Amino acid sequence: MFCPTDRFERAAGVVLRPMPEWGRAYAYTPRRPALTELNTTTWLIATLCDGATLAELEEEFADAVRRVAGDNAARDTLHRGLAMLVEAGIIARTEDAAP
Amino acid sequence: MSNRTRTLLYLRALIDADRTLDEPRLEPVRLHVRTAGSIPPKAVMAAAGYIVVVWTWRIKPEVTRTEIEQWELGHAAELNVAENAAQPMTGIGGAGITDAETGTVPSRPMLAYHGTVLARRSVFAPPGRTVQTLWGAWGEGRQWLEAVLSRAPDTIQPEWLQPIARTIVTLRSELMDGEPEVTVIDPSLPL
Amino acid sequence: MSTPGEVGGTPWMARPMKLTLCLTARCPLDCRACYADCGARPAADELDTATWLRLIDELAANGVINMFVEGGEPLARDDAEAILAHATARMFTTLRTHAVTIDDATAARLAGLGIGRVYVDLMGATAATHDAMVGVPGSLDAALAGIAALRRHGVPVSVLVILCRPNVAELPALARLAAAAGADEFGVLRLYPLGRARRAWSALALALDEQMAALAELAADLPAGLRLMQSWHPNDANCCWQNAAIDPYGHAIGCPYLRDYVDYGDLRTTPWLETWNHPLYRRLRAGAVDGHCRDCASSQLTRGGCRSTAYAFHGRWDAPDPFCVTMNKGTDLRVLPDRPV
Repeated sequence: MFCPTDRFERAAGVVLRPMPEWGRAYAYTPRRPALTELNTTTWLIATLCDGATLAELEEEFADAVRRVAGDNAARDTLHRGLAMLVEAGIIARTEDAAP
Repeated sequence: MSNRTRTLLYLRALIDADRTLDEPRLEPVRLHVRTAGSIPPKAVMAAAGYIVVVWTWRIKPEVTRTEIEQWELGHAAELNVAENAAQPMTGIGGAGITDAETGTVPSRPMLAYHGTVLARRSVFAPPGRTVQTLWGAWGEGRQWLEAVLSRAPDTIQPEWLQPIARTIVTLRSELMDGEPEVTVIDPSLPL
Repeated sequence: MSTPGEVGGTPWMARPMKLTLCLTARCPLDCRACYADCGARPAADELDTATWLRLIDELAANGVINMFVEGGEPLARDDAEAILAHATARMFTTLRTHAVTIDDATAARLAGLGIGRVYVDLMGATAATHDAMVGVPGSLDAALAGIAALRRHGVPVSVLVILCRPNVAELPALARLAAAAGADEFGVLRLYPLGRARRAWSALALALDEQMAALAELAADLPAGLRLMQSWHPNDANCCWQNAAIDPYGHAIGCPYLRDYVDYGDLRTTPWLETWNHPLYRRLRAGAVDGHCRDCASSQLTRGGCRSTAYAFHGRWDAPDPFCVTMNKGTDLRVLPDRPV
């Protein structure tokens, strides 16, 4: 379960390799050596995770997919994808840096 | 324009073009969908009345490629029975046919599984969650194929087809998200 | 103007994502089937540490995210672990080794470096066969000890075997040995016409039906938990479209199995991505092969199978791969045509 003020960013050392020819991206996680394929949705979420808060991610993600998904569906999808990315060690949740 | 902005523009365009937001998915890279068998050359297909049935379908989000591989092995094993042994192909009128490329009479099972392959989003690339499963049939196999793809297993005769039909039920119920899009490649049409 | 297919191959790939780094042609063993012809050239000809590190940086900057390191015996280089450490910080890195020098301390260091998987070559299920194939007594025991050490430190292990006449009868036993040693994958590789294997071809090679029979026997009795990897139909795709490799001397060779046949450029002086556009490399990636199995659903959208064996047997880059049951068309795989390399 994430809080709106949680911040998310690429985990340390993770390499993300876009493969636009295939509509896929690949992530290398050196801390637990593995190569993982991301589909369009998880790739989009991982790209948005540049230190943004969950609330900012929800807004940006909903905007990016607004032609194909409503706000509620977008939010649910984002949360599921984010949980997977954090679990896989591709994205890290950081402390809220805001005062 | 930054790389991030360029990537986001690309992803927006891709999602818009697909008209759907895929379930989020992560998958180990080492897995590959395995395929088996091959489709005869088109001239042989036409001479023998060989049809190819293609199911284009979405994989359920939780299903892995390994599970599809395991299904494939089981399905192929059920087809590999004496009743379905390869035999010299005959033409639509019953006469023997010859492969124009090799000059030999092709020998094939009447009911064949040609594999499950990644369907491609474009001419460039395989996407991931849409696959195509291909079967082929000639002679009496055309009726067998129609039966195993569309009927309840315990209603099918001969009995050796029933385990095959059960694997199709497994495919539909456990691996497939929604219904397949069915395409029949009929040799009577221009190929 | 080029079409994407011409530039990137078929299927299309703008830049390679994985690469095989043939780190060295040094090795403590003396294998009958050595593809790298270890010891044939002075070790001083090989790239030095600094150049390898620079190349790995260049590869990472250009999108390589998966590196397979092989030799020779990669661990025979004093700087092997420094080079591996540089790679694991940048890309998923796997290692192919004979494992004879891997003791507990080495295994611990390899695990600590983040090596994703180690592939260990075994040439037989018995010491008599394996040690005779690799030319050094005690090698099988040493390799099994190396595998055990790797597993103790949690490194996933695949056992590889090059299927050939001396070991064909031991294939099922070797699979059981691999499983017992803790491997979760058993890779049966075909014999390639390279290096010393090429010169010993008639003694080593099997007919295609012998190979297929051995695979069928193995598949029927594969130990539980052991995944089988094999490179015959339906897994004999033409993978040139996505392959990249560098030999110990810094030359881009596309695939380790092409090492005796192509040279796409000297990476000491040529940017790596420039070699990706070498005319022959582009031609092989295009996948234009005569007599391939048309409409084959098994080839994973590629055509004609392995280019190395096709060229070795037929002398043409657009010839079909004779290791495929469909495309073999009567080619006796026990007889390798005598062609200049």
